[in-house]
Amino acid sequence: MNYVLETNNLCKSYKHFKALNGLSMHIPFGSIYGIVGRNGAGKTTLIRLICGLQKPTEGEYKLYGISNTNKNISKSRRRMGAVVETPSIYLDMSAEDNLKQQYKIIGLPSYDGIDDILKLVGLENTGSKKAKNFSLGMKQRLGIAIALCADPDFLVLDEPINGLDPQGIIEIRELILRLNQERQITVLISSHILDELSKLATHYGFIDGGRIIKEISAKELEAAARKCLLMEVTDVKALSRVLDRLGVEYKILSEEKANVYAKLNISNIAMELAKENAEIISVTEKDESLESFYVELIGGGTHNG
Amino acid sequence: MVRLLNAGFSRLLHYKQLYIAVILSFFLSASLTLSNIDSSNGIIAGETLKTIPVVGVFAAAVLGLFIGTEYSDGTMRNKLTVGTKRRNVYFTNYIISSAVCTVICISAMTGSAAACLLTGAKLYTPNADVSTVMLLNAVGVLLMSFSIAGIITFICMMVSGKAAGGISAMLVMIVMVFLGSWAYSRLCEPEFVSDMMLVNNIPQSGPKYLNPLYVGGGARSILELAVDVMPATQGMLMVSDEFYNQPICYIGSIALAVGFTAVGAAMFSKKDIK
Repeated sequence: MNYVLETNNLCKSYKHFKALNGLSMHIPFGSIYGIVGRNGAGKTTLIRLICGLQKPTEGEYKLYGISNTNKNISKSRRRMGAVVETPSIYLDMSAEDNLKQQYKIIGLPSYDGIDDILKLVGLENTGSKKAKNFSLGMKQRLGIAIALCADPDFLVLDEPINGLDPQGIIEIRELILRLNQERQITVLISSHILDELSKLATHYGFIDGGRIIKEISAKELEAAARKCLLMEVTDVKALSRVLDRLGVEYKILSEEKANVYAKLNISNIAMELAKENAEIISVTEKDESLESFYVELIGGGTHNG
Repeated sequence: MVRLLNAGFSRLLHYKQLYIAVILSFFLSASLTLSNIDSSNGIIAGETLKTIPVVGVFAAAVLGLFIGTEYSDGTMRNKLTVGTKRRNVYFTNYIISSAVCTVICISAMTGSAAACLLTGAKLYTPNADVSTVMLLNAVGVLLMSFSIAGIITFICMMVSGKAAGGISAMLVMIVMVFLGSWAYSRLCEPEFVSDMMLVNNIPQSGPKYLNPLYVGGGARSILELAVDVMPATQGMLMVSDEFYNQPICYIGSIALAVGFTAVGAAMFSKKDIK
């Protein structure tokens, strides 16, 4: 498979702190690759490295097959656009002037495409309004517009929906999907808003402690996702004895709760539990979503953010 | 790099702070010149350059904000992400800084010239031909602009942030003016001094003794070199009509500009950008 970006054992240390610790990942062409991880897991550090803002302490990455140690890496970078953390925009300039500035930096001979880009991100009617007076969502879209100036086929977006209102989130989501589907732009997107990411991503990389602990496609995740019943009972030990007798897979969650991975006849279970002097309190059908996959993989333990 | 220069200068041309600094230096210089015209409607050529020693402070204020914005607004990332070489980003900022320093110096000299033209004051020099002194001073000011630009670019590129970069650069420039003044005044101290005394109600100078403030030996050579090389003191030498050591001053300015730019570009190539 061809990859837009491959990283191999990437490490980045700040004094004694290892932000990335042997990170390896693979982003296929045409995908929307979501990096999932808690705050401080290394998402932004990874993005800073691949954007050339910082250098890895160890390891390497390949952008369009060209290693970061190769002199031609700057040519590969011309095919990518990025919004790292906050949108990189001149606040005292209008949207159009910001794009003109980026056109000059890239060295494009005319400003012909600017109107199209502004229209694409929905900023065509902002006129001479300065970016400092834009809403957060508009600034975010302007940041993406600047990243699109070089007509990239790889777009890197770091937490693009952070702080946006529901309408802003929908707009950014639709824009990313449009860029991916209509322009075949590969997108790397980092987020810790899992529900939102699950509406976009075709591939996931789960990052923790500065390394990718699992890469999985959305299809694989869907196939791996199992439906289960969350059962709440008065005595979980009685439930486990009943389920063992039935040969059913389950997982004890607490003294009253367990996930049961099978279709059950609830009446039968209730009767079996009654023999054990136990009762069912509630039964809920659950989907194993991206969130539960993440929790299962990384655990819901301490939060570093 | 042409692309970056095009982008940088087009942004600079719309930069209000530059115009404020240019206007301020014009009027400050004009007013200082007017106040120094003597009773015979003449002025020593060097005294038309009284704003030059503080040009660095004006330039630091403008460039601190201009370059610092690249960090605080994050637009530095837009350049690096699309594959622009860091060396080119640094050199572009140095060239823009040099242009800003030169423009502010030219503005100051234009202010003085306007004051002279307005009053019909004539330039003179006590010891040499006016036009030669003016030419040597002009070259000195130009090279001094390049060295100031080198120092300011270095500070602004190393300190990430608009406020931090601007304040740091201004502080360094102000400290250089004060240090320069101190060094220059120490060099002006005579080697021997005598106290005044009254003999039969007639003031007379007493026996000479060694001035404790006089700097001699190797320390004097070092101080003289520093005064010749430091941008602020070069300006002071021009104002005092003591800008004699031009080769050392010129070479010093070039060395400062090249040194700071080379070290700055090397450090910037390794700098972690956020």
